[in-house]
Amino acid sequence: MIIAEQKPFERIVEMTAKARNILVAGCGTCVTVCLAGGAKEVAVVASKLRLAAQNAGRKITVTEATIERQCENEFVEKLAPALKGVDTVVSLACGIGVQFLAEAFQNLPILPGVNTRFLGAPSKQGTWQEKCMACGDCRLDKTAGVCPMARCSKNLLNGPCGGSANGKCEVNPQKIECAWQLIIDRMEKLGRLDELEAITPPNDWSTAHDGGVRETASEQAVPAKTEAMKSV
Amino acid sequence: MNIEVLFFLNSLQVAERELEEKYREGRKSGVLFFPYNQLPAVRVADKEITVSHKDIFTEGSPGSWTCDFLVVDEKAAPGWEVDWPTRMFNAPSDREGFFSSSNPTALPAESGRKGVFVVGNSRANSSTEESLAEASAAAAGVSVLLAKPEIEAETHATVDPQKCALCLTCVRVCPHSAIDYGEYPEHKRSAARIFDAACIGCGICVGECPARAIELTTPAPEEKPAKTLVLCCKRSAQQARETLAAHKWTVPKDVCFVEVPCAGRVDTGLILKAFETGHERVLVLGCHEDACKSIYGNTAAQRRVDYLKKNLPAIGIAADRLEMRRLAASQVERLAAVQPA
Ligand code: SF4
Ligand code: SF4
Ligand code: SF4
Ligand code: SF4
Repeated sequence: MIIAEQKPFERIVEMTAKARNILVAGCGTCVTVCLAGGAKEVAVVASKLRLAAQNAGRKITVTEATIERQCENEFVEKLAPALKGVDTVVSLACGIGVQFLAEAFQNLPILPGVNTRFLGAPSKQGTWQEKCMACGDCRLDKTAGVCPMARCSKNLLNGPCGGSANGKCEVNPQKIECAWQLIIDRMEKLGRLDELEAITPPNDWSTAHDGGVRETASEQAVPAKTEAMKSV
Repeated sequence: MNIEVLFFLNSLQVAERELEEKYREGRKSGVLFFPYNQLPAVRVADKEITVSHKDIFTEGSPGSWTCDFLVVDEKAAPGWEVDWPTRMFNAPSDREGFFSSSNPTALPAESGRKGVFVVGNSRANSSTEESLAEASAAAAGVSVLLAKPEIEAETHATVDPQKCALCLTCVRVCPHSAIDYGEYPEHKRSAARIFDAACIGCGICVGECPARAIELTTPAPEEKPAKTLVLCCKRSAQQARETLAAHKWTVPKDVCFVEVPCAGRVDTGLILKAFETGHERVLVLGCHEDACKSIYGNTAAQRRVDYLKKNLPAIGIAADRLEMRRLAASQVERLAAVQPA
């Protein structure tokens, strides 16, 4: 899942300094689950904006709306009625959602209310951890289900480095576990430790972001009817 | 020889035999007792031991004492017994890992989950005698439940399955283990489900749900316009308020008291709304630490209040316009001390 966190409120105030009529738009999926941008946080941010303006002696209107996902056009369209009179949108979705709104509503400033952090999952309630960096060529089969790209601070493919001590990574021994220690431990449990003796060659990053903006298509997906008609 | 003895403790529980007497004896011979909400800080430097402590009654700045000896209570840890109820009922344990050992609001043998009783060493560090007493309390509890052929459960909170994002927050935080998730056949989808027979309506889940999918069945009480809004936990502040009311208390002008089922119902959204509707000051009154019927409703509220206090200045609201205070139902003087801003 995409993990995001709310921007410091000062930043949101700064971005909306000129706005008179703001819609705070939430997303009902990833950012709801990671407690950063669902209906509850939408209400909180809207309240804060109203109070901040009031205390600064500015008259503004702030409304709220949360849709299922801001990264699907059909859902995004549902926001249109809520945009009447609105001059600025603060989206609490991830960067994908913000861009979808920007594309759909060309004449409106769409501002990001959260920082999109990473692909991850909760390590405990209220805390999330990065697990994958979408490298585009998953090698978890070779590393016993522990990702060396996202979870080794140095993205080492032949680890560990000399900074691994007591299972912790030298980059932050309090918080970060050494991914290579985890890989080795798990490979041992699987009885496959010897496989790690083979040297993994340098990575081909072309499937990751180095190959330019990525697109992926499903060969078997039936096109939507509008598209299907075009190709006839 | 003149020996000075200071006793720092969280809550003095004198339920055990002879404890009350011992306490009185101690007081008489000059032992000083200091209750705390926050563990006193201990510093050892140059063989000198300093204890700093913030008094909960004066809530003033911390006092500090140097001493020759520091005696610390032994720490008892729960054994394997706590393992399976934890797994079975997702039952919450207290700070020491026991099932509500030090919570004075829990009846003997009662767990956070209605109908589930815990006795002996999983509940607290108890003697055989105590365990036996707890076991009969548990038996009594069970017989009350079984007295009627059917258990009638009231609905205190409901989930809107259309809104639920299945984030599982409520499942993880409900201190009464009253929520799981599963299919709503009429909606043909999965969502969080509340088990009415276990839910006590504390509203902690309502305050925490990121999708605003949970509602309490009791309507929120009316707020009257007033400079100060006081949110009162129904088990402490609200009871103190009722006691005062029975004694012809004159409610301070410009203060509006509102009952909440538990301080844990109070979330950031609710506090901000209160400021929006014109209250200049918001006071959250909850139970003392380790004395919350919902185990950590009071600390949940404290967390949210602390978070918001850090954030208020950016909104142009002074942090001291929001405050959380602790009291017991009997501490009416603390409620009477609430004055308009
Ligand atoms: S817009 Fe972002 S946060 Fe919302 S569902 Fe899509 S990916 Fe998740
Ligand atoms: S190897 Fe690549 S795709 Fe697989 S988990 Fe790691 S970053 Fe993600
Ligand atoms: S906290 Fe709310 S959104 Fe999350 S599972 Fe519970 S009801 Fe659903
Ligand atoms: S109201 Fe309290 S007891 Fe009921 S489900 Fe929510 S958290 Fe649990």
